[in-house]
Amino acid sequence: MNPDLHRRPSVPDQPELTWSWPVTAGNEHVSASVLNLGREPLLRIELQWKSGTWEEPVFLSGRLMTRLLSEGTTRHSASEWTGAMDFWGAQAHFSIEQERCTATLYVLEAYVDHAWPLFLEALMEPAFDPEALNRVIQSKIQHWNIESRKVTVAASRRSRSLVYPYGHPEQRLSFPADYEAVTVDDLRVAHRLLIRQKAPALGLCGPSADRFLLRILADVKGAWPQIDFAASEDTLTSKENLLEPLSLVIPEPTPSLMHLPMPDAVQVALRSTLVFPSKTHLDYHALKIMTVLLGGYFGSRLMQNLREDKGLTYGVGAGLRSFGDHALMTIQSELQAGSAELALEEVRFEMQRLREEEVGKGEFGRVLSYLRGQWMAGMDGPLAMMDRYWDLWHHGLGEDFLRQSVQTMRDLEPATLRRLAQTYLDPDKAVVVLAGPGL
Amino acid sequence: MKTGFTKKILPNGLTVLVHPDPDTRMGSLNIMVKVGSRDEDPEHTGFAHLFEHLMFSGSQHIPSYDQVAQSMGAENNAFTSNDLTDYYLTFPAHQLEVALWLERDRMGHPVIDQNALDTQKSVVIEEFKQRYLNQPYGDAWLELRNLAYTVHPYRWATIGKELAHIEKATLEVVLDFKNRFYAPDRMILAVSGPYESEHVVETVQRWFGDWAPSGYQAGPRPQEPVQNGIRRLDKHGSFPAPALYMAFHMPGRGDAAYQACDLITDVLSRGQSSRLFRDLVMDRGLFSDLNAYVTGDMDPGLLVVSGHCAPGVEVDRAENAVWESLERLRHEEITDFERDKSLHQIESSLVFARLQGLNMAMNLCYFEYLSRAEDYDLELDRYRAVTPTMIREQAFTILQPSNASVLRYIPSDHES
Repeated sequence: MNPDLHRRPSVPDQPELTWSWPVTAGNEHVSASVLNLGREPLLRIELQWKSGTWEEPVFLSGRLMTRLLSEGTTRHSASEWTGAMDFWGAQAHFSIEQERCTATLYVLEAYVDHAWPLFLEALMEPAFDPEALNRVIQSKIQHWNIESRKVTVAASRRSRSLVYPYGHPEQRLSFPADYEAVTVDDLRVAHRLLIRQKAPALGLCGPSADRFLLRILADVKGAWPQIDFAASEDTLTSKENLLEPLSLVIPEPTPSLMHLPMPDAVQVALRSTLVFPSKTHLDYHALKIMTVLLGGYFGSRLMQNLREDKGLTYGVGAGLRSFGDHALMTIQSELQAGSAELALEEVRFEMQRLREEEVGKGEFGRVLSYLRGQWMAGMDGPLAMMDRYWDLWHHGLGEDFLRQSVQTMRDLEPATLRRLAQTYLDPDKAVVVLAGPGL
Repeated sequence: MKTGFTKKILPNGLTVLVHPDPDTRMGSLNIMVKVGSRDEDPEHTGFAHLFEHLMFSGSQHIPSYDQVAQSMGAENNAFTSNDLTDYYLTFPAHQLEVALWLERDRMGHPVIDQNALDTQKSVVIEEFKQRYLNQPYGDAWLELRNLAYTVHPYRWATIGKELAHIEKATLEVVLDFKNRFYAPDRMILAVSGPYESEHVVETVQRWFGDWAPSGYQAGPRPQEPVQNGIRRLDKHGSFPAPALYMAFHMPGRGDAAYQACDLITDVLSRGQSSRLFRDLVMDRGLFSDLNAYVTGDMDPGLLVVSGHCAPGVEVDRAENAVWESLERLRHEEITDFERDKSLHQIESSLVFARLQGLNMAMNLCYFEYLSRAEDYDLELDRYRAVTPTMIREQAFTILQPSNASVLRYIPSDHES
């Protein structure tokens, strides 16, 4: 029998949006979040700190410190340490972002006993060898030299410097001389302030994560004996959200339109940024939906307009990134040379349209369905769920945030979205940077 | 490692693979089409990729593919390689039936008109500029392919040999491409998710079973002759740092020697304890980054070593140091430690790759195309069967100057 292609097949109703939440386990001194999920015999062990580049004692010292954690310890040279980690097929990642440090170990269960002590050793006893620091600095400078030729990087850097006020750590841009100024002593201070003196939160996930819990908990407690973990414990499962409208902590940036001439480039990079409230704000969930509708998925208004209708770009997107006290909504694209003015007009048009017209029922339903699917995908599997958990932990949020997210996707009205657009999506307040050849 | 899956070849030639995964609430649908840039006419390159773009332009019964995909909460995309074109969709599991309807209409009845063609030509041209022209060293692979291959279609990139081929694409040629390559007997379809295999096979049969095969068989591709001397291209200009790309011909993905070649690159550059990283990046400071990898093509592909020189290091000196490292590998067997280390890393990668349903669907399709889906489970054993002697023998054959194509970016004096 031929299939009936004329009619969309009916399917069962959308299942309820649910999630697996890590349990907090431990004893009166130390706790950890554990997610027993999945089938493959692997374990992810993660330590996170609520301090990042914005708390670097010396500019770039935290960034170079986390990079140097995998360059040898006081007991093992870099070759020995990396050789042993590689031998056990383990992957250690040490990273730092604006408001967090993260140390993650991915390892097969069979090799945990070999890799975990090495991982902890790197965190607690880094060598900070001057030669290694010099090599890493030279590599960073080389990377800087290459990246700074890209229109996307140039636009992004200039955009940051315009969005943030003078004196804010995010406002300062790095240059080669800044890397060269960092010393081994700076790394040690950064290590002490960002890693050693602050209590980490511990998370484990994998099919048998709880089997490893006691041993790892004991080691963590031993590594930070001066920390009273019980006092610093953050019990997320009982925490309510801070749903009071907050004022933006960073001042609204001065609206601007800047063109960085890069005559040799063949495309123009666009960055258009607005400051939005952070995840802790009542409006955040709806603003997320608005951002997706504007430019967060393939069928978004910007994608349809700039790519599918006009062929001006390979891709255009809008994203919302939340920090502790604010979020940035950024539109970005690489445009056909000579088309930037037209593209800017269209971006403005699409923002105005959201402010002036209610989104039609069909489009509104579609974006909500899309987001429900992405919501499920974003929590499918142990690694994805753990990522979600950590993200909320950093914002001091818990499961209530997820419930409110579901509720917003269910109850939001087009009129509310338009009202929010009128409040937040003001093209006249955007910081716009174009980098590339003529507009 | 054992992957539970069901395989069924429908009477029209469509291969169906089902991987049940009771732990997920998401479904994945992957359709691999047996056409890549290697199947293109040298005068009409970039068509497989251009056609992939056009497949998002709507179909006879579903004017907007994206609107339906989004309304079912799906994420979708596609990519084109030298060997294949792949379309994938992940969605809340209860939407499987809609996903199959959507793909059946798009694969069998795409609506491709002049307007869609004109728009996608512009989009692809912008993609070409973004990927290959608008960043330092962006054209490296365009140059390297052209240097390493003389007759085989791998000599052009999937996006096309030159922009003019895309600009001149006509509706007639595009539709001819569709009629030849987009048919059930040239496709492998895989589903992963919380499903009963039998039910999925029946459902796929219901949606795709009536679609007639094309019977098209691609003709033999020109085989690349053995290279008999080093090929070099030095590019001088405004580059931020000297860069080196060295490409060596090696066996294809399905060849028995493939795993040994892949292990060569692991020994050379996988992880910070690898030879090239330890010797030339860490100890001697000649490169700021240096990698070795295989292209993994189905026909004989390339083993590539590439990196950027550290500040103040001239490319001649850096290249000589790489040759010294490669020469050592040609004559000395790797240690047991190096071999075991690589095997643990591969084991770990294979386990992590199993976490995502889409990965499973894609990998099953790929192995079915390459040989048979069952071989996916044999990968680790194939790597384990490689001995240090086999690695040395492959290194001896491959890593020699007469088999090398060397592309170098040399900054103008004021740049360096």
